[in-house]
Amino acid sequence: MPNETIEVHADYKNIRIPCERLRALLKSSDVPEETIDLCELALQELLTNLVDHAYAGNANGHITVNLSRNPSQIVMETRDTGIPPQMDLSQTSMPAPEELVEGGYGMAIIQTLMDEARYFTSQGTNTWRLVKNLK
Amino acid sequence: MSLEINSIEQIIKIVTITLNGRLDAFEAPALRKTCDAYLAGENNHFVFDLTDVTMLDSAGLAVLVSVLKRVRLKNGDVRLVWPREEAASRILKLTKFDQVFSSIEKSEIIPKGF
Repeated sequence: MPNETIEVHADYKNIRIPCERLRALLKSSDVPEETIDLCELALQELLTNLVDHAYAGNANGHITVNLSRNPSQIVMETRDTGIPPQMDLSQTSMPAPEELVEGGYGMAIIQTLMDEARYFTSQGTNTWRLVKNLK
Repeated sequence: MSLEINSIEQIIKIVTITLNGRLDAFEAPALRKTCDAYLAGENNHFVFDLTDVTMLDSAGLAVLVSVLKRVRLKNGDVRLVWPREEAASRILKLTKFDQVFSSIEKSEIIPKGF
């Protein structure tokens, strides 16, 4: 089953690499285009969050991304050693569009698109796990 | 009775920005810089032609929202030409910004006959 691990510097240019690899991995395993798009957007949003918040713009940080697909799921896991997330995922919501808020959409987008989005921290490493179920 | 003629000359400057490719966290700063320059020059009406945008994330969307916020304060507005790719239009629907931004057709950017 397709499985790939990529390590990148935590900057906006390099986080494109795992997104491109995700697209290639899923395309080669006959995942529908729409599902590929959803997963790529969720991964892009997560990685951008890690650049902005886990590493607070420190491009010396590293993010390890593991991408895998099995018959029933697409799994995207990231590991970083930055600032641990401190959010209550159950309280995340999409800002109302009429408020014209410029930020704060990333996590709400991830939770809307993915069937599972959770994180845990252990021994200085933060792991995020995003799962998309396949029909 | 002689003909009464009334005329109004309206000059509305519209900045049209055509984007091609991926509008994400990496490219968003360049777009923001471009828009900031136009906004500093008292431009209040923008058209973003997103026809050929292949992917749009929340960082790219933030630039569009920022411009909308700023021009509305000066009685201006923003119009979007909708992306052809679903991968780019999806976020507009997810965030319900498809109900906030007005859209126009590409052919409407420049009136026919000019």
